[in-house]
Amino acid sequence: MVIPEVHLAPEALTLHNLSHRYPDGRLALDAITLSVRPGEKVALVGPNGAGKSTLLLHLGGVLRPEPASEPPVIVAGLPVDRRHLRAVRARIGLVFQDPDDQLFSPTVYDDVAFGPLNMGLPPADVRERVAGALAQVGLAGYEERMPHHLSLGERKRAALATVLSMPTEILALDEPTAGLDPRGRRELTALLRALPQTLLLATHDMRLVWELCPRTVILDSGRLVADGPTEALLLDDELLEAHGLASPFGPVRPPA
Amino acid sequence: MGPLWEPYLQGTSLIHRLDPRLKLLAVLALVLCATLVPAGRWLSLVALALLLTVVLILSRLPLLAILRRTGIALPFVLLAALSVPFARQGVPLWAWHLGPVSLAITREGLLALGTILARAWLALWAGALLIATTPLPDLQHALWHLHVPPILCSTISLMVRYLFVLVDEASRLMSARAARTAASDPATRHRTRLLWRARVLGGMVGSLLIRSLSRAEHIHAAMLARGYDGTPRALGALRWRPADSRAALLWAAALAGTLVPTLW
Repeated sequence: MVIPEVHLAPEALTLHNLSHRYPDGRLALDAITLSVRPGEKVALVGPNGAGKSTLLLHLGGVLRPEPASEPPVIVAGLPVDRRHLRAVRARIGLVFQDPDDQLFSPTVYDDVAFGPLNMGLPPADVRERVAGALAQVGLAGYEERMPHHLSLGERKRAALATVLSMPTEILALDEPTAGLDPRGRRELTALLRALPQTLLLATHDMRLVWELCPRTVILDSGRLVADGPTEALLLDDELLEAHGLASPFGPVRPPA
Repeated sequence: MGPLWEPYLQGTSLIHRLDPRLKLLAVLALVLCATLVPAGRWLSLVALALLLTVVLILSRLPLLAILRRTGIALPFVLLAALSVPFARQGVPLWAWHLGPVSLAITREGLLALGTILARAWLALWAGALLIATTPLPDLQHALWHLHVPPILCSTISLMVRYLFVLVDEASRLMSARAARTAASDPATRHRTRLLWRARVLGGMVGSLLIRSLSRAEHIHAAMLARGYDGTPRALGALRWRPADSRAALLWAAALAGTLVPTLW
């Protein structure tokens, strides 16, 4: 497959009035407008059921937006529609919360190779990408392991490797630190910080947000209720409490 | 879940090192041979069992553990074959007469039953040897390389992958139930009625089904997000070595040899 080159895409990601209604009639996303510049690390926070995961599924074109005059989702300069789907999916790496959903192949190797193989890359290229991605997440030598033999931390990292093996420009991660012990969390934070890709993190881990993302977007009941510098939003206890969140520092402000 | 087959996979015996494609085909060939042996030709069946014994010795697996595994499926075979002794025409050995209905066990029927059980047991034994000497991913890659239809390969590989996850989920449900099943006073325990317990179990099975369905949706989404377009692709590196060719020839000759007694 030939991936069309895109030059000078000013925004890594643009959402324009994106709405999503579930089959049961519930409005999961309500006219979300958001844009993210290349290289930005943005946290997407909000209570359970706020629509974070739904938003991520739209970025990968897994869910389809309601028809609109203007394309509601643009990823790396490409509108997410049937015609651009494959090119979009090569550029955005979606990592799901439960690594058991992400890792569906017999071995770690097969799984990390899944994306590159679907892109139609030649075998030698695929092998190189798999090796690179596994080394990047610190799992070199895990190729032949079966996913159910890995610890949760290892599975989380393997799940990340499955999208790092693709030429992604944007990573959209759902709860990357959920369920990890402090060391696993620390390692993952360091790994994410070192990645050059644009990062969109849906998470409840406010410390991770504080440490990693200069910008925070708050979703609540499908609406975008705040979008600004993390330092300002995460120290606004009233705002956080109103939307079912809590500051990483508890009710007390950190020393300046 | 592991204990079922995994403890023996680390072996480095001759059998462990054979190409998984060869092992898979060898098992199929043995099952075919066992099926071809006519009822009552015990010599051939014994010869096949001897062949498997040689493989077992070569693979350095614990004899008893492997034989015990073959017992797992035998009751099912027995259940399915139970009607055979009654169904064959022949010399009756025992007969019951219940009014107009008469049931008779015939000598030919018993012979057929014995042969069916022996064939099934040989097949189970071969299967047990196969999974004890071949890592599951290798077996899945072998299916792929033998040009089994991709949709079947995918189905098998997803089933194997999520079998473990499902077992984990089921055991979590069991623990949750156990944790809330207050050890009742022995005097009142009999009051936890069977019906009620069955209902709890039914609920657990249902909940497992719902979880599996929603997991299937998540997996599909994860596959789509990585460019899955309905065409399964795989990249496995299996190497067929000269030793595999030699083993294949040897196995074919041995199997042919076991069939010789059936020729006269």
